[in-house]
Amino acid sequence: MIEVKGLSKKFDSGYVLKDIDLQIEDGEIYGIIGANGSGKSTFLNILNGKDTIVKTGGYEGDIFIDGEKVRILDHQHSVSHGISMVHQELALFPGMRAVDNIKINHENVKWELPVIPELSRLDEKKNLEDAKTALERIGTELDPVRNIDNLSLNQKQFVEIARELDHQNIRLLMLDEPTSSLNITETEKLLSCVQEIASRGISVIFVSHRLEEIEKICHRVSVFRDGRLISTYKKADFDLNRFAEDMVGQKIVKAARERRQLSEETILEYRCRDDDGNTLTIKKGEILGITGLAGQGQEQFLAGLFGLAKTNYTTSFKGEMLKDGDTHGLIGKGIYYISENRGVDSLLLDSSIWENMIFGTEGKHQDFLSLSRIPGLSFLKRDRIRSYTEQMIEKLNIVCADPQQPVRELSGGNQQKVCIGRALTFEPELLGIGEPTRGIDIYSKELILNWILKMNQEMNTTVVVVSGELEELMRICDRIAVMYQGKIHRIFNTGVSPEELSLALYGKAAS
Amino acid sequence: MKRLTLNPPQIIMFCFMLLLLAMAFFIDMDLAGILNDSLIKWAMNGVIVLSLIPMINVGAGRNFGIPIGLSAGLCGMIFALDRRLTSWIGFFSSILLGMLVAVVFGFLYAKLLNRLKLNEEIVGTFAGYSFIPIMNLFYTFVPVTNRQMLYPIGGQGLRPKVNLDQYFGQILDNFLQLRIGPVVIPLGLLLFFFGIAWLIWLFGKTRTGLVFSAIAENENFVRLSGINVNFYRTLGIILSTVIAAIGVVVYSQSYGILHLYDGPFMMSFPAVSAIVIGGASPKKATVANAMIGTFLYQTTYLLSIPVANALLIPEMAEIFRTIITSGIILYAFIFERKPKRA
Repeated sequence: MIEVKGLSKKFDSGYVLKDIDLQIEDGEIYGIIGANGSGKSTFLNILNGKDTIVKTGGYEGDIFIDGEKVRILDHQHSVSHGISMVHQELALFPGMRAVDNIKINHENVKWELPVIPELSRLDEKKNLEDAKTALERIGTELDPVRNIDNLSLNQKQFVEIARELDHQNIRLLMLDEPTSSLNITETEKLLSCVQEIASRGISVIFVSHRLEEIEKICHRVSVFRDGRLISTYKKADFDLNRFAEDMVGQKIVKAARERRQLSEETILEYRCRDDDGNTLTIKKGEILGITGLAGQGQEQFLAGLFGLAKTNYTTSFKGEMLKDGDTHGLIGKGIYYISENRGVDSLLLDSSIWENMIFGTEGKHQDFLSLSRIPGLSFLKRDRIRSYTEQMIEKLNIVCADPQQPVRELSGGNQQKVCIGRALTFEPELLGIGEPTRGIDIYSKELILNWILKMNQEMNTTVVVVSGELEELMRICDRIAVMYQGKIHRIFNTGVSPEELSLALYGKAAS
Repeated sequence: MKRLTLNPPQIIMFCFMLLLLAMAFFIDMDLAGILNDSLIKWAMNGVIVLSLIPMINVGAGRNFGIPIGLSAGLCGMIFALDRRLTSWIGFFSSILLGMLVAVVFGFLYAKLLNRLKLNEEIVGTFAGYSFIPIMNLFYTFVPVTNRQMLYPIGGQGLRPKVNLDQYFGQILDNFLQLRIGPVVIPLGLLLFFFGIAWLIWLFGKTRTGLVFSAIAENENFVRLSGINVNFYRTLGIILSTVIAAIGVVVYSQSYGILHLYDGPFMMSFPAVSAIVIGGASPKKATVANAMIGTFLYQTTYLLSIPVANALLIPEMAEIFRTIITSGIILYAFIFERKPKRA
């Protein structure tokens, strides 16, 4: 039996996991579900002794294995306690055979060299036998001498599971989104393999974004939200609607946007290259939210348009086709984008607030230049820019020393306000924002959301918000598009219930 | 204004210079003469070092391909000398023609560097080195009619060294000389040097200058602001090449000799060392960095030869200089990757 008590993890910004208590019986398949950022990964990372936990001050709370208290100090430690993990992104060595991948780091050797055991001669025959056994255990007849590069995705996944099962003392197998890249038959195979593993007395933690899988194979399910364990259900009490409710939380929706008549004029239209009629049209003057679980392709729309991500959609603006990555043309048409990686894409961290505020906006603000006839060689009107920046600082309530302060020294919330200020200076017709409130304190969050509403109402800016924060989207958006497996799954109007929305995240409809 | 801070390279170099000065004093060297020479060395090399600034600031790295710009300047001088243009006309037409050639060379160089982003320094080194033999071919075949420039025997191909005395040798050095006792200040040369420095400083304050430094800091940001990054990089690289062309004309008039063929071969390391000593980071260089660095580097070099020759075995100076030049560049590379603040 594996038990955790009061498990917490604190990063600089605060607790991302707080007081988790749960027990996993031997041979039990334990499901964990939750929205993005709910703490699922942190929980797995703690048990797996990941560097992201170890090197940031470790964890709080206790872990018991068969009643014995253990402290997981690093990954090796975690393995020695029989805990292993299969990652969402495969962690296999390309170019090597399946057997090498399975036996790596615990190879059988003919006779171990003293002093330098690394140079011992490998026992090829025994390695092959072990690999074959491990693969057979999970019900696949894969030949272990095959090269990893020639395997299909689910075969690779099986190799990875076999590798973990090959650890002799395995007690707990953690699967993080194991089926995210598998098709239905492959998924079936994997699920029955997981059940098979559990029937041998190995405990399994199963994290998946596909609720039907959870429903099918898990004995118990816990819902995580905002780093806390909200509820645990036994198999008999499984209910998708209750899962959804717990995931989103019964927060009172404040300042809900009034339902209003949307303009009929289409400003932006995305059309899927697959030619299956999957389109997204954005109406002039609306606030559209785009959401989805991690990795469902939300980034394709704006980041894709600005050349920051791959996209499977073509874009037309007011009927005119746009070229992906032609930022000059996009800005010229009045489309501006604040990336979700603010510090990486949308700010000059080592430059001052004023430089960030006005950079590249001379097209709209000739008054910033002293020689507007030759903009390239013109000097900047420092006084004008300074007073403008001071105005913006006051308007947006940016906490800083003065306009000269480098943006790097500001807090996340204030950095985002500088981004908003920049967007205001561009006066865009269409503004795209990725994760506008990620990593921002509650107070600044409201301010930023209010500014988004304000820009929309006062300047009639069309806004597209890509965010995983459902509650915020429901408050500010006219419509919310939900992405699932790289495509637009559903589009909701205001007034959608949280349950319906969160089920859509999992590609389901409410019953 | 950003605060001017002293970094270890500058401090090390400054201490080294003081040490050499003290030694020079003890072996009774002519200090006034050293000062005169150091002022000339400063300005004659200074423009070449200044030429690194636009490329560093546009994020294209320290220009190890400086021979490309220098070759352009040499071409300018060849054309001017061939027309037998002397004195100021010769000097300025050399600069003007050199600049024209530099625009072409710079454009091609920029094409190359824009294709091989992130590897500018190593690509520049190879481009610079491989450019020299190409130019050598040109020097051999260029149809020059001025016999003073051709090989005396055969009358085909340019000489490796052409004396500039009859044309514009030392024309800037001797212009507006200011004598204070034994000290001679080459005011004309210094004014020309400061003038170029001032123009570069002024350029940094323009909108384009701001775009340059933003590209060096965060190319993605600039691209997302709707600005064509490659256009500005091309501009910066051309600018660097053009200033290098001017620099070599200034250098040659001081030197008194037009040094063709392998002349530009070993000129990139000293220039890069100088600006690094001056405190330039890989992505940010100021006019002050270039000026301080050149002075420290050239004066140290100047002092080290006689001092080392007097105190140690002869030829030691060259060894020291190489150690310092390469060492400072190495040092700069080591500290290039500062850990990011969390």
